[in-house]
Amino acid sequence: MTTLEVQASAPPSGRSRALGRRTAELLRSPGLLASYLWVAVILAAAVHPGLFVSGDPLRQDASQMLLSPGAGHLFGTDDFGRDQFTRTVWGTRLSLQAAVIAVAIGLVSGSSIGLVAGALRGRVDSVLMRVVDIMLAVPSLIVSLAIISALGRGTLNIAVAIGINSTAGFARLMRSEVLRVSNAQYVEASVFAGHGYVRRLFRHVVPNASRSVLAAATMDIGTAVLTVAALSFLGLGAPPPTPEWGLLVAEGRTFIGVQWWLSLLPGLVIVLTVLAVYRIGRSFNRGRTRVVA
Amino acid sequence: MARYGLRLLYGVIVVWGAFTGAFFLLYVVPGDAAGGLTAGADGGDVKHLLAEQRELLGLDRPVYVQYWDALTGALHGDFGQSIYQRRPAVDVYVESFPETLQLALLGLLLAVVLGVTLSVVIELTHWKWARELLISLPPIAVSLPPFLVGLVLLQVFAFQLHWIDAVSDRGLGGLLVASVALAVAGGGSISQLLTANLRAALTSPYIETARNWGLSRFDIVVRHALKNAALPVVTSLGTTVGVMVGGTVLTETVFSRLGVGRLVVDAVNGRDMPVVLVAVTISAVIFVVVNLVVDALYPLLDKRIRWEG
Repeated sequence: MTTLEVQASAPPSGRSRALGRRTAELLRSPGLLASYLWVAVILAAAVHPGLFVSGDPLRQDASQMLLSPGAGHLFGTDDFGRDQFTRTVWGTRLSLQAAVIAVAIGLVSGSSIGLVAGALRGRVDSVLMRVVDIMLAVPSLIVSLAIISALGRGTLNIAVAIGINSTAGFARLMRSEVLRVSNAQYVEASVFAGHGYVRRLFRHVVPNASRSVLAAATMDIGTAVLTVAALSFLGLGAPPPTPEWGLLVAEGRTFIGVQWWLSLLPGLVIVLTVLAVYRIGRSFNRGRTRVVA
Repeated sequence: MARYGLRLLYGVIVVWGAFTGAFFLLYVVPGDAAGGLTAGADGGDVKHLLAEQRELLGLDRPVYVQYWDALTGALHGDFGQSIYQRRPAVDVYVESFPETLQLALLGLLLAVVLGVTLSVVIELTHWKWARELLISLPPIAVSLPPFLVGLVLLQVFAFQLHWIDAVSDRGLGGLLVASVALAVAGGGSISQLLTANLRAALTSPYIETARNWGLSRFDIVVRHALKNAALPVVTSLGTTVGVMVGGTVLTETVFSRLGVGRLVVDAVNGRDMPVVLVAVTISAVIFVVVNLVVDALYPLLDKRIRWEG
């Protein structure tokens, strides 16, 4: 019985060894290190914008209109004389919040559907997976547009729309992981050890299936940052004076011919953030071949 | 073949599901098209006007009647009248379709060409630093928002070089620049997938054999490894097309092109249900057809796969 017990428990996690390997990897890869640093800076800006800028993102100044980037105004000023760098820093909170909420919605709802489908199999599985197929069949931007028109404009509604959209992907991944893990030897061992179905599911299958799902979720935060910015760019997010990344790019669009920095510098911040998140996601995902489309 | 028939049936179910989902999503939207049409009306009359418009548009009927009408109509190619343009929604859609189709097709073509070329060049590059640089390109490409790429291209080609008009350039130059903006993200994701697959393929025994025959590195990569590495990329084209449809909305906005993308954004904002239904249904049809074609292509690319059992 004791030997079976040992086999039936989850495979050795080797947490401390994994941590050591992680630190070593981090030190060897300057790109990964930079990504973590950038994400830390972005998180700090989201939580406490005052750390980076002292001004008010909404304060207008007619004498400071459309200035070029320089010492006083790192990203220049817009047509109302507002400091674009201050607005970008203050915009971090809303953009990041929306991306995280979106992924949380997709992760929770998608994993639940995938878990039910993978655990129950049979008819429930095929019905759920057909629904998932349908959700994947319509281009996500069109679904988002429809959902936003139902809920009304706003950054939070954008997040809900993106979350609903990413549900199908998480459901599919969770289901395939549950099926894969269920066939693993240590789960079979748990069957022979006489463990109940529910215990087997939540002690062995779910924790092991969650790993790649969580790695995918990290990558998805990057995708969500992009989509939130895209929908805000289309004018479906927060109304204009609010600082938000996608909206800042959209507002600067009018001046793209001459004051190109108004759009492109906040855009660069979006790009760096997405790059950093993808890089971190990929480091979780090593050895797997999931590629974000 | 029987299995292919089953796939066809699934495809029909997917399209039906997309149609139904969109119908009910738009039906539960608080406030319908009648509200939008009467938005400009004055005080006391509004309620009366609203009811009148609703009756006119058939929005006062029970939901199942509306749904059944919409579904049977759609099966006959009739999605109803566009509420704002007061002519068949299908006509409105079909009019702007060619504009988007040429943009999407050119974008897809460029994405495949750019993605495949980049992956092959990465494999053929010997200099370590050049290789490292090239390998970093695909992850950057997928991190670039399509609207930002569009704006940069607009800045350079319209305002610096004056090669195209900034607003709604109808010429070939405008189309080409817009499709490049659309192709960057797709090309990046194709290249990411293909580079990983090529690397895996290059370690297989048959490549070792080819090497021992003394084939050049170019022949090995392009003639032998690429064919096997391309298979998962063909599968991913289905998703790439979906991404492209979303990308066209943004690209059309940046370049002020009047295609399906712009039409759909306006229709959703105005709750022009017939037009949205057409757009969703046709997008789903395109998705299903692309995936059926991909399935049909599979046995041609890999002789081991056949449609049996």
